[in-house]
Order: sequence, then C-alpha cells, then structure tokens
Amino acid sequence: MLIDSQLKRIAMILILGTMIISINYYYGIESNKHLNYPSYGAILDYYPVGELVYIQGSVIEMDSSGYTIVDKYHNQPVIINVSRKFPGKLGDHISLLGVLEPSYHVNDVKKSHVMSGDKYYFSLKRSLVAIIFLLIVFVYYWKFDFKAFIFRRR
Amino acid sequence: MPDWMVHIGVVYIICRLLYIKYDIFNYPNTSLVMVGTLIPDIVKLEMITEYFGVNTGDYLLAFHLPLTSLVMAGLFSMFFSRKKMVFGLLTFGLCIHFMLDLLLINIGGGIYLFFPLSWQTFHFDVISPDDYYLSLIVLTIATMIFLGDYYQKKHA
Repeated sequence: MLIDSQLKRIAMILILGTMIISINYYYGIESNKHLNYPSYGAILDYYPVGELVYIQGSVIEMDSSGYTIVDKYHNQPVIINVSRKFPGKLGDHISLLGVLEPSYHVNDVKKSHVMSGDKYYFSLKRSLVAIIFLLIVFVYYWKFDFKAFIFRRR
Repeated sequence: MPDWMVHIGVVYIICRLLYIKYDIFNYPNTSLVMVGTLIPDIVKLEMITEYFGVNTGDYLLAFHLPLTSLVMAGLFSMFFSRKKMVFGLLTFGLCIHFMLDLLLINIGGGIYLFFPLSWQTFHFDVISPDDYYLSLIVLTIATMIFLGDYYQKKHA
C-alpha cells in the first residue's frame, strides 16, 4: 500500500514536472510573437525601425540632448540612445515606449516610467530580508522527513 | 513587482484576519501561504543565472504565469502529507501575489492572466515597483497585528 502511494506520488511529481517544462518551453518560443510592443528580441532580430517599441534599462550616460540606457537581453548587453531629457539621475532604471530610429536610437517617447536606482537596490535588499525571515519561520514550523521525503509539522 | 516584504506582509495580515474565523490559518499554515505567494517569483532565478552568464532565454519567465504557478503549487504539495490542503494554501498565496502584481505600473505589458487561452495582458498601473512607502505601511500593520496577537496570548 505504502509502495503504491509512493509510486503514485512519484508519477504525479513526474507529470507535474513535465507540465512545467512543457509550459516553460512553449512560453519561451511563443512569447516574443505576442508582446504588446516589440522589444529587445525584435530589435536584435529584425530591427523594426519606425515602430513603437518597449525598452527598459539602466541609465549609464546623460546630457542635455538625451540619455543612454543599457540592458541585458539573453545575456547580451543592448545599448540604446534616447533623444529626450532624462527626468532622473545616472543609475536610475527606466522603461519606455518610443519610436525606434536607425542605429539603436529611440525618439518620440510616448510613455515612460522611471525607477530610482537606489530605491530599486533597496527593494532587493528588503526582498532578501523577507526571504530569510520566511526561511526561519518555515523551518520553525516544518521539518523534512528524509525517510518519507515529505515535510512534517514540528 | 512589489518587493517580497510586501508580499509576505500582506499574506500575514490577511491570514491573521482570517484566523479570527477560520482555524486553518494558524501560523504553520500561514507560512505555507507565504511560500505560495513567492512561487511566481521563482522567475527571479533569472537574476542568478544571468550573474553566472547562463542564458535561459525566455523560459524562466513562464514561472510568473498563473498556470505555471498553479502547477508549481501542485508540485510542492506533493511533499506534504495533506496535499489538498497544502495545495489550497499555496494557491491562496499565489492569488494574493498576482492581485498585488496587477496593481503595478507596467508600461510595456502586464500579466498573462489567462495564458495559454489568451495572450492578453492585465495591469492596473497603481503603484511603482520601487515604492517603499507600501513596504513601510504593510510592515507597520503587520507588526501591530503581531504585537496585538502576542499581547493577547500573554494575557489570555
């Protein structure tokens, strides 16, 4: 009986694991075709000049005529120049919708949202504190039974 | 997305309030709801893989979908004896996560709530992802509830 239920559990874990891999694979190959706006994938693939694109990244350079942002897409750094005065400071993170011009240039920004670099890193630190807190709370109430391979209440 | 402090804090507040009427939301089960609320953010593993120069493409992004999160909740519940109850608690947690994430400002997209049936995105553009006032408010309320609980138990 125990072996039966263990086998059922293993089968269920394998089925669910396969489902996750399948969903992730499907999403990975299809998601770029269904974006609301072309993004870095499209820019690197077929460069949709004249189209409204969505880009985001950290501001690495700025002057009175515009600013330069950098982001990593699939581990590849992409640098884009934006022709608009930047409403923030170096190191801030911006996401925007703008018209893609030649030579990795974006003009005519329709919408943008700036996130302070300091606030962003502060939120990462808060998240780290939160995960440590959750680990402590979880381990306080639950222990792992390596024999049965399940979590049990302490 | 709101930082994890907000996600966990909101879960704690909701579970403590629900515990007034439903015993199932005791502290051990609240910790499960908290785990559930972080399941969609398994997508953050991308930061670690990126740091080590591993290209995961867009495959990890699928973890931040309701469907994948539900399947992950099912997978995690396999490691508990009361699978259905744990699945329910984890699912409750991830529902809270998506409700909070829907409030975020999102210029280019949103959440594919009904993937794979639909690629329509949803977002309400209410709060900025870097807003720490929300963390402060949630932390304050959670602390007050915790202290009230502690005081009540001590004098019970």
